Amino acid sequence: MNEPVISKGTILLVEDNRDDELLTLRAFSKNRIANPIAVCRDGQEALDYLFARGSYAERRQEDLPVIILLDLKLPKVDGLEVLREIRSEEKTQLIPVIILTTSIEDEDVIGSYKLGANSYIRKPVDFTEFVEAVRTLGNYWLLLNTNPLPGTP
Amino acid sequence: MNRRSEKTLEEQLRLREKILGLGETSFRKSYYPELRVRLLELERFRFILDQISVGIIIIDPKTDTIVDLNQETCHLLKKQQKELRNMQLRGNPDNSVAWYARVQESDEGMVIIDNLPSDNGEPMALEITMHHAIFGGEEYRIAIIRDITRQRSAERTLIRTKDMFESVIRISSIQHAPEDDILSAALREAAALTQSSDAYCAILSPDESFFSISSSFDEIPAMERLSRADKNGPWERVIREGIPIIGENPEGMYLPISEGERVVAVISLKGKERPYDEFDLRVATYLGESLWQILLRRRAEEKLRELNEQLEERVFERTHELATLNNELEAFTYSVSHDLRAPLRSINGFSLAIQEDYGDELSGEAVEYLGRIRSASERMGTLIDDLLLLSRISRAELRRQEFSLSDLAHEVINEIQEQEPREHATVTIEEGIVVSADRGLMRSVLWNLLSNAWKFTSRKDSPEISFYSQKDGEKTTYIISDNGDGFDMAYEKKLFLPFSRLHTTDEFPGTGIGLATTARIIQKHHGEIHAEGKIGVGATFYFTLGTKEVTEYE
Repeated sequence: MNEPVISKGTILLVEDNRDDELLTLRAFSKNRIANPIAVCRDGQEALDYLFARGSYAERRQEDLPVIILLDLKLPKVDGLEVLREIRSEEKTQLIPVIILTTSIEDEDVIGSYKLGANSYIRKPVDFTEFVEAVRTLGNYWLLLNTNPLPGTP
Repeated sequence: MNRRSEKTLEEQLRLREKILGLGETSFRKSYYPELRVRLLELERFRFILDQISVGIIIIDPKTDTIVDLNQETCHLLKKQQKELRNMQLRGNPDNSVAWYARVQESDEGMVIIDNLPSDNGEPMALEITMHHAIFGGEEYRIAIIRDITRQRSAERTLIRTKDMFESVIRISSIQHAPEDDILSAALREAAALTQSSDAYCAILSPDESFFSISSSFDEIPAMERLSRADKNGPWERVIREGIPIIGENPEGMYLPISEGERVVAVISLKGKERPYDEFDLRVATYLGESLWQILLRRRAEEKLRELNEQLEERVFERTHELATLNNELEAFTYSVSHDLRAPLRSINGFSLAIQEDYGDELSGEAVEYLGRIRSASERMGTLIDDLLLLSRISRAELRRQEFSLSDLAHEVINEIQEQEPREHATVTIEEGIVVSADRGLMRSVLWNLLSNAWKFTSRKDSPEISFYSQKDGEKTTYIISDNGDGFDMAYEKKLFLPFSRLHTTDEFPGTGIGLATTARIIQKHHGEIHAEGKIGVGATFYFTLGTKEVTEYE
């Protein structure tokens, strides 16, 4: 049995709202999550980042994020479409994807899980609740002992 | 007195003496009383014979001559007594006795002669029967002639009336044909019934500016328009006066078809060999009126069909519009759920950030204000969530199933108690209440009603909440009552409107949407909900759930 190790890998945050981005980063720091964080502001940019294309062509494609926090309502390519692409590519299909959104419509929740989302968190209005939610997901998904990440022995 | 009493009494007496061969005196002293009785009898029979309205001819079959006849025979055959007496009947070219050969040949010994000329122009009909008789050992034939003109005429009327009704039935059974085809068919029937060659129908246009003409034959194009210039023509006269014209040939007959006081059409018939008579008029009028009724009915049916089609079209359009609106509403709801909450999160999050990061630099009052900003944003978040729930319920499909409402009430009250524990609350729940309803939605109903009760009894020393049912015949009412702060009955209706609140949020928190949602759910179940309350005493909510059968038709 491996000792639980906190992953130091990059967290990819796909979020088009600057306020939400700031608040999410604040929630990370409140929970002392010190992983590097990459932020993409629309679905297209997120896909370019993951597959090292377009403006991210220089990026090393092997460096994949340890988790992806994905908003659903995104400009250009929406969240569900991004999720579909992530799951259909061999390289990315095992990265945990946490849907972080405001919608609790059945079609979004069910649609996300159908496409293989690992978790679905609704952003609460109360920031303290949000900090709590981020803490939980950090504890859960950043622990590496049960997480078969690509590149780990 | 009677035209046949030609012989005077004196003449008769003289004839008697001649027959008996005696003078009057001798006759009185006659020794032949028997003869006298017989003679009287003969006279009586002769008189009756001449009086009755049946023609009687006695014929000698050996010579085919008329031996005797009565007065009526002369009348019926239009001949003088002396012309007929001793008339040889076999091979006689005289028309009045042409029946003799025919009646001899007929098996029944009877002939009917039609269309005999008569004094008043009406054709006469005679029925002649032949009988055998033996007088004084000699064989005779007796022809009996009866006037059956009236009977025949009645028969003819009956047949024509029958034809007329059959015509009407034929016309009214024409289906799926253009109006002009029906008119032509009806006019052909009218022509046939009145022995006319042509029949026309001129229907006034709705504004009465022209006629549409139809005819019994196909040479006139369908519904040809005809101006009303000829003010002296028969059609115009019929329109003006509203009474038929029965002209001599070749003018024919014109008759109006009226709708109430107004003449709406004129039918004209032409080309009958004999003059048109009352019966022709009656037949044509009846046919015309029936035709008009048929046309009116068809037009009404046509209109109804058109209206139905329009209605269907409109229903289709409306359904489409509604579907579009529904889609828009869903898009709106979705965007509300997403976009309206995002700014709230910023307000809440950054207020907290200021409190946390700069709390030391701020006055106590400033920190308190930031707290108020945060709780306001949280309230608005709840409000949006409640609104979303209300709209989701409106759109949701009802999935009925049987389940225990009692168990669900226990479940809900336990949850409430966990969220907001209270020590001295008495909750009574009637066991075994089973309903057929949407469980998910009913959970929302019980949650709203029970948490309301919980909330409004919070200031009581010994809060009591109960859930039970009451049966009234087929109808079951479910009741949740509490001994809380209650409400003023004047505002009972307002309770169920969204955003209506009877208390301030400081007194009791809430968005004012919970009861609106509850009412919507009950409505979806075809049930009813109402409330009773008294300030300081408590509130009671009553609701029913529609039957399964009703909702199956949804």
